Amino acid sequence: MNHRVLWRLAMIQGSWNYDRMVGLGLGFAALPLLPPATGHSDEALARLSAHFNAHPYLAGLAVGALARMERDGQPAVDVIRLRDALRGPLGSIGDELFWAGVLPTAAGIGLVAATQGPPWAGAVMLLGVHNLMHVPVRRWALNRGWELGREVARALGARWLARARVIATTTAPLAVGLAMAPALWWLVGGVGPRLGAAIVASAAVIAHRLAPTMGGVRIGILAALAALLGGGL
Amino acid sequence: MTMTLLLVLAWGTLTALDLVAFGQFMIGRPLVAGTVAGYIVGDPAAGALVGGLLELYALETLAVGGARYPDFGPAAVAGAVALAHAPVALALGLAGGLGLVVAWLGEWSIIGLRRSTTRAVRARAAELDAGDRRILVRVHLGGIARDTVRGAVLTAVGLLGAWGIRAYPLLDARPATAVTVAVVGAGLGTALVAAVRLAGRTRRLAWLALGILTGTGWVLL
Repeated sequence: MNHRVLWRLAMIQGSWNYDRMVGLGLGFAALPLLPPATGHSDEALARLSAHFNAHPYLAGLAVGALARMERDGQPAVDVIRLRDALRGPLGSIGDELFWAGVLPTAAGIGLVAATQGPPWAGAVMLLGVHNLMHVPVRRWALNRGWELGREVARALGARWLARARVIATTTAPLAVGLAMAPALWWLVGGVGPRLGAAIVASAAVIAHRLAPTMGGVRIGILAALAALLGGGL
Repeated sequence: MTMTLLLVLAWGTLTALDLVAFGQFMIGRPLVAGTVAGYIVGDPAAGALVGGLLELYALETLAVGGARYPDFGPAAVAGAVALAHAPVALALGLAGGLGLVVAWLGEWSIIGLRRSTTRAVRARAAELDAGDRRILVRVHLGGIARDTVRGAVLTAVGLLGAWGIRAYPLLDARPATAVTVAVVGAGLGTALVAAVRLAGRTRRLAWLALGILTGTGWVLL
């Protein structure tokens, strides 16, 4: 498959906006696959760059399939129907597989590696685990979309995809849970066991009371400010 | 010195781009961004430490669809620069706190970027609806260019904060340690909430519990 298209796929969210979401990115990525346009106007590109949203790693399925349909001269109404039909599944499958599965798994493994190895170990493990899954899936999605065209839904039913979702969403809580205690030990190694106990206590309060509603970053900032003011008095 | 600053600025900008606009290879995850920034400024252990701290917060972020999310790449870069060659017990909380503020500013900057790109798309709606290839490429690359500027400005703001922390160490041991306790505690709490949310009310909760018990046993033994 065309490497130019793969690189363009990596930029698919470059013009994310509230009107078309990744629609322009879809058109941008599919451009090298589309039949040559006559003049400035290009109906196929106009169809592909309308409103669209998908998980960026699986968007290749849509890019490949829709570009193939345009290349084969299939009716515009069928192209639009497929584009609209792919939006939901590509988002939900990708979110579950990557954002709720592979990425937290990689982060958990990375944190464990950071606590046990040299400084680079955590970063290398996180990048390695995540991209060993992410890059082949991006390539597979584009190739499979191009091969299957209007039959692309068959790719979404692939057994390996269903199995990967189950495995990834199971390993994610395991890996994150595994990282908790070593991370605490690593982070508070410099401040001693009494403060470590204080940290665990404050973590429990925050987890139970605040984080579900406010979001971690805001709580962290407020906690730092409160400690700054309280500790300084 | 200038070269180091430029390298850190370039790295912070790249990590911001990786969040959405280009790649999503996860070089913008705080553990990665902080570690590399640490190597650039000559203290990789500090970079990994502050990156690891912010990673606890980043576990909560699910970058789904049009959701709002903090930008942890430049945040970890700023935190790593603030913590480099400083006593960990005194500076970890401040560096992490700075990172959190930068991440929060990043969240707002992303909203601003999206609005700006939406305006650019609307201004060219007629040409885009006609499928004008040249305009589509220009508008799309324009979005990436705007995100590059956003990332550079956010990193620069973070580096200014890091410089402030290093140049004016206003805190003595007690409040600085209190800040460390608060920021690490909030991070662990956030990670725990994120993990429970990931597991849901399913059998995966048992896997989470198994992970926590195994990790705790590992540390204690």
